[in-house]
Amino acid sequence: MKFVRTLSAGLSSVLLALVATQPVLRAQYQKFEGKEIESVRFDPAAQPLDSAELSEIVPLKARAPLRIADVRAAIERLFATGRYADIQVDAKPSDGGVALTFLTRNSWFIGDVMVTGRVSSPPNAGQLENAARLELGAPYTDALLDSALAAQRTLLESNGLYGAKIGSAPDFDAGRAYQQVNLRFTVESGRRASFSAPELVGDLKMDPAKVLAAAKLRRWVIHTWKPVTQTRIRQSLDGIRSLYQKENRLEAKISLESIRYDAAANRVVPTLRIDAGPRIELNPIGTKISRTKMQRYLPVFEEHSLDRDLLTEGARNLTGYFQSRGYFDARVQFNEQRVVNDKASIDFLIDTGPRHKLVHIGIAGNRYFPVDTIRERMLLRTASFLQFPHGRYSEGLISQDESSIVSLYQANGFRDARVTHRLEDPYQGKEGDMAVFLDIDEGPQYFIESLQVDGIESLDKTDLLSMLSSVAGQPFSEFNVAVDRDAILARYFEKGFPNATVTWSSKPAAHRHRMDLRYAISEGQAQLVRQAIATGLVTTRPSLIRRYLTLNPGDPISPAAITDIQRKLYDLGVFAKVDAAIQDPDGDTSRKYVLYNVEEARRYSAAAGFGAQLGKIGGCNTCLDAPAGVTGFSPRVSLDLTRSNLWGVAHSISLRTRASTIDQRAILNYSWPRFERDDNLNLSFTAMYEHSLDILTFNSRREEVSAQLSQRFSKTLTLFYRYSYRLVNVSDLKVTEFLIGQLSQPVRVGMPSLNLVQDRRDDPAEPHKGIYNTLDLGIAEHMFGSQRNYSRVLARNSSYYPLGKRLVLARSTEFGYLHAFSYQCDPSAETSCALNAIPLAERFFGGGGTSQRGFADNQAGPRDTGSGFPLGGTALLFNQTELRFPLIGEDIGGVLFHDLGNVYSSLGNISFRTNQHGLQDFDYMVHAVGFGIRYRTPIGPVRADFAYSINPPYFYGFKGTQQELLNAGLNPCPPNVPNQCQVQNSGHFQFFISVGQTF
Amino acid sequence: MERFFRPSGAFRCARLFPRLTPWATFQRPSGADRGEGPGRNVQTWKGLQGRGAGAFAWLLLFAAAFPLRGEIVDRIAVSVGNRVITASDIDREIRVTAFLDGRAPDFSPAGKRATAGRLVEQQLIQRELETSRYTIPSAAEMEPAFEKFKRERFPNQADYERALAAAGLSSQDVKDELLWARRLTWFVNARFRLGVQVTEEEIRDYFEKAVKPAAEAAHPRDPVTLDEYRDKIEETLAGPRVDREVDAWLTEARKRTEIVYHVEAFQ
Repeated sequence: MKFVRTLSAGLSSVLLALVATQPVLRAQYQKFEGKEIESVRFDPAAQPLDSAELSEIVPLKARAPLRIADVRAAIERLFATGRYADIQVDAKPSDGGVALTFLTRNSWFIGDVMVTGRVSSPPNAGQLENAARLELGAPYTDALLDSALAAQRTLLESNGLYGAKIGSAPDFDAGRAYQQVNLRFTVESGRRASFSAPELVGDLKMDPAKVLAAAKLRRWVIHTWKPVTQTRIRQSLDGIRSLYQKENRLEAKISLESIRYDAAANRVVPTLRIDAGPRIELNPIGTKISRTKMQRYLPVFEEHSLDRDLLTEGARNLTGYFQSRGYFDARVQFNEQRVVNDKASIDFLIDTGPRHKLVHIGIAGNRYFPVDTIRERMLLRTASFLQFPHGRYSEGLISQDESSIVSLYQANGFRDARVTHRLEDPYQGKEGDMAVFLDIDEGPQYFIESLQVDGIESLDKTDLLSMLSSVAGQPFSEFNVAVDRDAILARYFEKGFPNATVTWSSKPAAHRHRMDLRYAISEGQAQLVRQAIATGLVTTRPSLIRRYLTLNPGDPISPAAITDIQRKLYDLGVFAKVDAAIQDPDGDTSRKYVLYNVEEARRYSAAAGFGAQLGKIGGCNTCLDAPAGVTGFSPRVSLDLTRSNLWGVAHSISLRTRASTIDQRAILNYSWPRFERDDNLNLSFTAMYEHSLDILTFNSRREEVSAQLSQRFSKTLTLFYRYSYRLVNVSDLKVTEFLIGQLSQPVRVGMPSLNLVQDRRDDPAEPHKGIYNTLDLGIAEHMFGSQRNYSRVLARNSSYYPLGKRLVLARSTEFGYLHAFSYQCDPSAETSCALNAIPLAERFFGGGGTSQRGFADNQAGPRDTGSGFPLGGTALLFNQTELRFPLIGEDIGGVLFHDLGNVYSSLGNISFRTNQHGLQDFDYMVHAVGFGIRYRTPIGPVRADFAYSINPPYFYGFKGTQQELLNAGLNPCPPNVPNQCQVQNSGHFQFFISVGQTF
Repeated sequence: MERFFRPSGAFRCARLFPRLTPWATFQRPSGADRGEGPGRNVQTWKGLQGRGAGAFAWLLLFAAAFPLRGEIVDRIAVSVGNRVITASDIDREIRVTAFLDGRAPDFSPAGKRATAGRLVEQQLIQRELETSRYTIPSAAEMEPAFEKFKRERFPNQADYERALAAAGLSSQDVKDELLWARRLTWFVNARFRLGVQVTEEEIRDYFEKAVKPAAEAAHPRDPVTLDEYRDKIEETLAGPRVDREVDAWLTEARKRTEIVYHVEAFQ
């Protein structure tokens, strides 16, 4: 050790001596001042800036006299570009002049940040990456790396990982012009520490055992200590806080004072500081209000603090609550009482006043805007059934409405607009009724006399001016000026001027109520793309993303374009994260690197789910006693496996399985998005196996392979080209004997089809306006490998119309037709023959929550005359009409609906008549009316529909076993002969519960 | 009586200058782009010392292998965000402050570091002045002060110019320094003085406990009134508070800004 020190000292001396021989900055550096510059060089020769940029930045030119001030300016400018970490300028006498050399060292910028290793979550790798706070494109320094490591260690330790090892390896992307360093962190989490008995300090005022139980730091039943995580610590504090709150200690302060780690035992001892505070009773006086509501409206419960501000806010909230319930004159005050014997109380003195109903809102004085335009901006509401039974009124709301109306006028040039209000209570002599009258004084409208725009140098002035709304002759308002300013700035940003500013000024013009307006634009320096760089690719082929990097060198740096590329990369579906940044945005250089750093998504993913179906889906498989179905419950599980980004080109293969008591399905799908490098083409191949019992008449088994190419023509129009080849089997037929042989044969169907979808709805999950059209055309023919020949048309048209602000009228019509051809048949039975030429499982079945709510699922249309079970049809026509309206509050809505239609035995038998002609006639129009409730959720509305079928079909059901039905022969229900047939109907009442609107 | 009070304005600027800024990072080039291959591009002097003989030996070889060049006429001494203070900036600052103070310039490493610390603070304040768009005193406003300085310190223009030449400075260097001092004073007043409140009670208290006894001792026959001293007392009490505010602001500004010292520039 001593030797090393001696050696170090000796080496240091030698080093200093050597360094002393190097050129040093001398006080008389001015000796070069004024000498002619012979040459200007850069060392190393490969510079991050090209020679043109260097020439522009460095003011020193050959044959010019040297000015030290210019050298200093050159260093400042070069450094300001951000591309350099160090710059020195060397001067050497040369041919009577001076040769200058800029000795430079490049800076580095943060690229990909990745955490790998054995990371025990929490925290997961992503959280550790975020904790590092290393921003893409920011200048890199050792200090940043050190603070990143420190932050990661803090995060790990706060999750009990005290033995974690973190390694960091800056990976300098040498040889690349973009000077990027990728940071690789290797984390070995080690064993997670467990809690041990916490130390409780402070004024507990409670049994410590009770506090410890509330902390829930031990496992349930077995009582061992839980492993440490941040979440558990937070939950512990919350648990103790709740305990104190239940004891009315609303001011209780619970905090984690410290954590002590016992390395030998790998345990932590948290120290919890508790200041219980006094018991505080909150007493509502003057009216009854539940404790739950008190907790909801008084923020002291949530904030765990008690001060005048919070109490005032609570009183205001309570006032608002009572006003919303029709007590428009409600007043709430509070009285605080001092703490005596560890107790204090706060009385909320509530004077509700009489209950009112806001029955009228009068608006007068408005000439420029119609009443409807003003009303739609108002929060006040007159009383309406269910939604606002007493109307919506409070002093705060009326004040907001007045401000909204004034803003509306001011935005249109009425700078002096004023709104006042008066109340009439009782209104028209009726006690409790109230009216609000708003008087609007519009004042004069100000117009723009002239507009002057200065400072446009780089953009097309005509184009920019055409975007402005505040032009001569238009109303003058600060709102419109702000809109113009935003539009101008947006255009400048788009064209690569991030520092552009717009200021405006106005002055009265020569004419009365006219203003001269002036915009002054400062463009700032344009920023251009030096190069767009993508990093972080592991398995993805660069060719996949290259064509999306549409920012080329020299293009303006447009935030919109950068974001658009980022979105497109994300939409490829192969990246879990796409970060975009401009490298060193503060660097004073006009050309910048645009960085895209991607994190590839996991290539394998699995999803499991479960659910249930409730409806008229029940009935035994072999019995004939419920052809219309009985209420049944079918649990369902699903499991999906996906392998994404196959071959690094974003192809994927997935297996989706679903199993329930009425349906088992497995689908294997290979997806090839952006087929032929066209964003609008997607190709997929699918193999499917399905065993279904959802139609009560039979069990079906379907084995299908298909290929589909989808082509998107526009945002709203997509065409699907499909060829499917399937083997369809039916079994367990519940129909009369003579049909069994014909229908139970397995059938191969080969069908090319064309499907067009036009979607112009404003919101697919809950549309308010627009249209939705689909058209599906297919043909099964021998030449396509089909054993049966038929064509298929299925079309649907839906449209949505807003009625005022709150109602939506929605309608949908669906038409379908199956046409059999080239079949062998007895001409005398043409209709039934054509029907029977089409495989049973390929026919139209209808009815249910999304087609005709007068029927249970798949119960519409022709039925077997013996057993009464549905047989399906070759034509269908459904029409649904709904009136959708808000019901309670903002999230619960209601629907009144009328459904009509049926599935018909043939196209020619489509009929609008409403009467059933006999028990074997099913070709008539069934009508149903009903009521539904919609509850808005993030995944779409949850709906419950209750339908009443006005004219449900009646039919013969067979009361017996399958064998007895077969024994009964071809006509098991002959009239006037005793038999086991029983007249039934499909039921007047139906109910459906599902997610999403009906159509 | 003046002994009770510290001068306002310029002396507060002077108080800013002498402090040595805590050294953030001393940086040596790693030579990552000079054939050493990728590596950490910034090394601290402290870290370098800690690596023992091996590191020194490498450095020795590096220094020996480095081709002898001409003379480094300027270099980055400190970077403050994306701005730099060059070695010539420090040299000039040393000369001009010595010239204005009428003392010999101190070009020692310690003197350079102290000067660099002041220049860092200047840069931080300069950035604040620019980003906040203050209407700062202009160069034209400094002409009377400049002329006054010359009149008071030099008998004639020739002596002044001789002194300048001896110091290696130009008139513009002196004007720039005076202008900066004015701007700094202005900034401190505009940014911090207005926010510092001195209560009437504090003024009275200070008057009773400090000013009055001293004044009465110095002039036993003269009556001593508060009004006579009020402004000066207020300024005295406000001064340290303003300084604390300035210190706090500078500390925050340093935290927000990447400041890197290049140790070679201070040798």
